[in-house]
Amino acid sequence: MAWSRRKVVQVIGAILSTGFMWSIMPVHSSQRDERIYTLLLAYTDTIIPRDEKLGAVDLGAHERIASRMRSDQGFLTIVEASLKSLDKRAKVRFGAPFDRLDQQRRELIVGEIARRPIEDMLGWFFNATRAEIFMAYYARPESWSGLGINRPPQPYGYPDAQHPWSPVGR
Amino acid sequence: MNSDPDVIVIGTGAGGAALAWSLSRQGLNVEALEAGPRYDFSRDYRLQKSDWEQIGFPEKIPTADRQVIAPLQELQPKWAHLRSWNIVRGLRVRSQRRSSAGGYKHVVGLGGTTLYFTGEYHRINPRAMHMATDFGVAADWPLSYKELEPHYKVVEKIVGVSGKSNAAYQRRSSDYPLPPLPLSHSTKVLKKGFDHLGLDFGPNPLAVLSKAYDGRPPCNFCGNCNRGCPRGDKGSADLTFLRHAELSGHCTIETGAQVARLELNNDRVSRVVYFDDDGRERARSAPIVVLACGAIETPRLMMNSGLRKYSGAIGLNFMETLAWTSVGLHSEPLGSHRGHPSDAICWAFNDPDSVNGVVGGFRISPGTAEANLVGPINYAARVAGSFGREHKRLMRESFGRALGVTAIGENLPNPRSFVDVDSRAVDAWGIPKARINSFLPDSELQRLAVMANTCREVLDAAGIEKLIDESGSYDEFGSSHVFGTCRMGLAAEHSVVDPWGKVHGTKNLYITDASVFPSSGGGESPALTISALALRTAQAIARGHSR
Repeated sequence: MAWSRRKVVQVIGAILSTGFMWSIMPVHSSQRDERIYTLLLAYTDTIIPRDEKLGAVDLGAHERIASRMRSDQGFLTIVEASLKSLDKRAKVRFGAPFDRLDQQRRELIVGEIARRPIEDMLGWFFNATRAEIFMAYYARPESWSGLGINRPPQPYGYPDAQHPWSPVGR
Repeated sequence: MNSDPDVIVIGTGAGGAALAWSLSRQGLNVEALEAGPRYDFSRDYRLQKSDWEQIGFPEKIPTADRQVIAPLQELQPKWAHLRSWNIVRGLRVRSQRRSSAGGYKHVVGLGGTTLYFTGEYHRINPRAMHMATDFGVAADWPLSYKELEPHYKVVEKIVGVSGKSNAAYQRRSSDYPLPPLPLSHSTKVLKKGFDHLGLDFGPNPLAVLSKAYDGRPPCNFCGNCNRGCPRGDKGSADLTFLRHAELSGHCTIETGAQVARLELNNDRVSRVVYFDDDGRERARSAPIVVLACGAIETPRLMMNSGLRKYSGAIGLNFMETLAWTSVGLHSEPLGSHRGHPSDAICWAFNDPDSVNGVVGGFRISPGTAEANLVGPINYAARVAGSFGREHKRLMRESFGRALGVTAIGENLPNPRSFVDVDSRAVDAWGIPKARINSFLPDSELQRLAVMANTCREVLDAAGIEKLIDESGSYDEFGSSHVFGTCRMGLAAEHSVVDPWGKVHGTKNLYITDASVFPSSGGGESPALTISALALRTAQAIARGHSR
């Protein structure tokens, strides 16, 4: 189902105005939060996996999303619904929860939503959460290995700026 | 300094700071009122932190909501080739109306927008000062380049400008104080594209030190001037003019002073009313008052003070930054995040008649940093994209290979581009905000199209594999160079200030910022000309004071 951004906002508004979220959260919040957190970890690891270098979960990038979920009710609602959607798709396609799949299969599931337009709820989720992961992950020097940089621009600058450059060995 | 200033200057950017320096050096007591705070270059800027890329300039006072931008024009299919786009994100503006998201880019703080600029320090093309006589557009400057030239020299010496003295397109009577910055490797690669097209592309005059000067160290080529220079090698007004002005003992500065209105009595400003840092309403008086708040806030203050009776031209003739940036991915790793962001320039199209069928010139310089492609976060989001293992592969393949060029061009005034105030939108002190009305007629878009095509040709000739990101003024308003809303001229009917910067009909009110520019020039960065005009105005004030 393609959701316009306006429709997403309307649905979130309706949910909040009825107190729906608040009525169910205290009952199963702990169990549900744990499941969502597990899915968030798996999703974050899918966006930037660990290979010979560290991945996004290694550097805590998922915490940036979790932090925004705690302070932004609309974001929380969309992320929860989208992670559940990924989980459901994983079960339908591969017969296992999303977080139990290997990287290749998780990438296939995420690939389905990555192609959706940003006006679609899942498309919006992918673009917004990926941006948060990039923002957190690449703000950590440990992520720069292999790119040819090993420190922020200052205090040393780039005194070699006039000369040819190669990322290898940096 | 005693408590009664000779001159009050409102605003401390390129104009106010230069004026304060000049007058205080001549022994006049100057009091500068600055709406924003001081910035400590060694503590406030973030380039030494690992998360440096997460924000741009670290604003202490957010600027995005300080003005209102009136609804902008609808986009047309015939200009579709001027839409802003990115290889990962697609179209930047998804609606069919020009976006205001770029906003008026400025800094509220001691030193103004010089805190944010990359330090491009250009003299105006003398031919761009006669646009009305020669081409029937804009207005002529009521002073000559020859009259401005001595002031250019003084400013360049105080700030410490690095440049190539014998370069083509220069109109100089003396050498630059410092040699040019060396060209970065990626700029040398870009130069091959210019060379292939037969276009001269050489060192850009910069208010950035190539050698230690005036107690400040040379640039170390970190490539992030517009995030705030944490070394102090960039010649922002706080570290140059204002530092020396305060050392003179004749200049005091009050930060956090938001001026609300000017009160006039018998055509003389009798009181400057402002809110101080604690929100208390206060007032100051002086024999001379100078406005230096920029081409948006200066007309706002004048209109909110009821000064339109002195000139109906206040707020009219608004000119903005007409800009285009193209970025490609080069076949070789360049390390293009290194080096000064704008270390070279092409003036080949700077003359007003350099393009057949289009009035008004432009210039071209490196644009990789202008496109904000100097760190891994932006590469991830706007170059590599994707996710998973593919994303990591693309990041390793692409980082350091983005190569951009930016063209900035003349913007001619038109009746639909102006600044007024919006009485329904007020700031925290209840003062109506400035409202920016911007319109780009086809004549502007024709020039922009030439700029865009030239940028693409240069990148192609420089060996890029594919374009990855383009942005321009057509579908998004975003301006740091703004001009013209208090035009300089001979008569109040068509201008606001006289050739010395004095507001027509008043006895003691002057303006010294880019609002007085009768034309924008062919893409020259305005800071140097603003400061040179300020020294000229200071000269007039000092002479009047001595009489």
